Amino acid sequence: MHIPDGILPGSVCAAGYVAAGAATALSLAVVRRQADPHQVVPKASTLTAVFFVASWIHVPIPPASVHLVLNGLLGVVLGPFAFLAILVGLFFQAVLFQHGGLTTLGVNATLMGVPALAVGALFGLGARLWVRSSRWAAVFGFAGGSLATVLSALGFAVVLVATVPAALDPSLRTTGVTALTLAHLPLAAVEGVFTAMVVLFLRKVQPDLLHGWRR
Amino acid sequence: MTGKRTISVIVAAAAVLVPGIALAHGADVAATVTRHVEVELGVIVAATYHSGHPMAGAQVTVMAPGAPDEPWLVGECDAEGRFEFAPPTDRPGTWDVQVAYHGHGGRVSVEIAGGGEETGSAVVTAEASSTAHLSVLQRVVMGACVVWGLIGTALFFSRRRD
Repeated sequence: MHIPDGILPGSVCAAGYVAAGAATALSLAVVRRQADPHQVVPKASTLTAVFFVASWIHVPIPPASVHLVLNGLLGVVLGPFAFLAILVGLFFQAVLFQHGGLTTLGVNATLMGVPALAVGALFGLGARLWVRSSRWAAVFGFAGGSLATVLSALGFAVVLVATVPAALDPSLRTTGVTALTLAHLPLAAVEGVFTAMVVLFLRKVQPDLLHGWRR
Repeated sequence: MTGKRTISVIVAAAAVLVPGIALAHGADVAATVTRHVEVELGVIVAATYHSGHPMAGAQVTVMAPGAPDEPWLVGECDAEGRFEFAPPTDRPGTWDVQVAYHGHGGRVSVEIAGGGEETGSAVVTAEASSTAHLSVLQRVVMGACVVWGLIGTALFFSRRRD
């Protein structure tokens, strides 16, 4: 799900950086309003490490293989911190392992981070409105994990299909992108189950680690 | 606080163990320039995902020197992720080859020297690759360094304050 350098036109890369900059500013503004932002840094930093490593875990789904993204998990656990964590994780992935690219960092961060923020907001809202039973926790965890993956995959598909270079056969790109997007559906299920498991675990041992679940 | 710290240490341990079993998901595009007996110049492009699978059916765009925006040739990798083309001998310079399959891929620049009369059979005159070739050990150490830095940050901010 990481777009490498040289695939997208410069204007799209620039737009990606503008969008990522706006999302970063928004996240920082929300974080600054919290009572003690420093308290969230340990878990944000740890989950950045988890996000950084997660893309190495392949799930072979023909025709390609997809990898865990975990942006839903980050959204559910970190809330407004999720975008910043994803931005840092993507930066290291691009610089050290050429996974993604520096020119496309803004686009990739936007496409993975904004769904994480959306899911985080929904999860926080759900935690505030509904009874915090384990059943609801599992439902919201699953929904958060899978929804973020689906939103990201759709975002990538739209960007890739919309920017196909004139020289290339657009139908080939569309076929490839459709196949890859469909391959992300089983991944969304895997991410949903994983996120639900983490949410249930945290709810039991340390509920205040979940975004919006402070007692 | 202790509970939080325990959880972050458990997660960290799991994260550090993972690089040993996994590989990155990017793609590597390698190009080899060969020159046959007299005039025949050939570039062989081999594209593989980092997982080792060939990029079968990937779209290839070749850009000639001095014309980075205008594709000189457009094609498709075969089932082994290979693509061959023969640039004209009178256009020396840097040729750009981009291989992409549904948003994954890479770009490689190959230097093609002009003129020159080689003797003998196929001679490899240039090789290039889109990604740095790192050993598994290097990758694991690099990954571990990042994880270590992030965990260090986590522990720093979770230290007990008086």
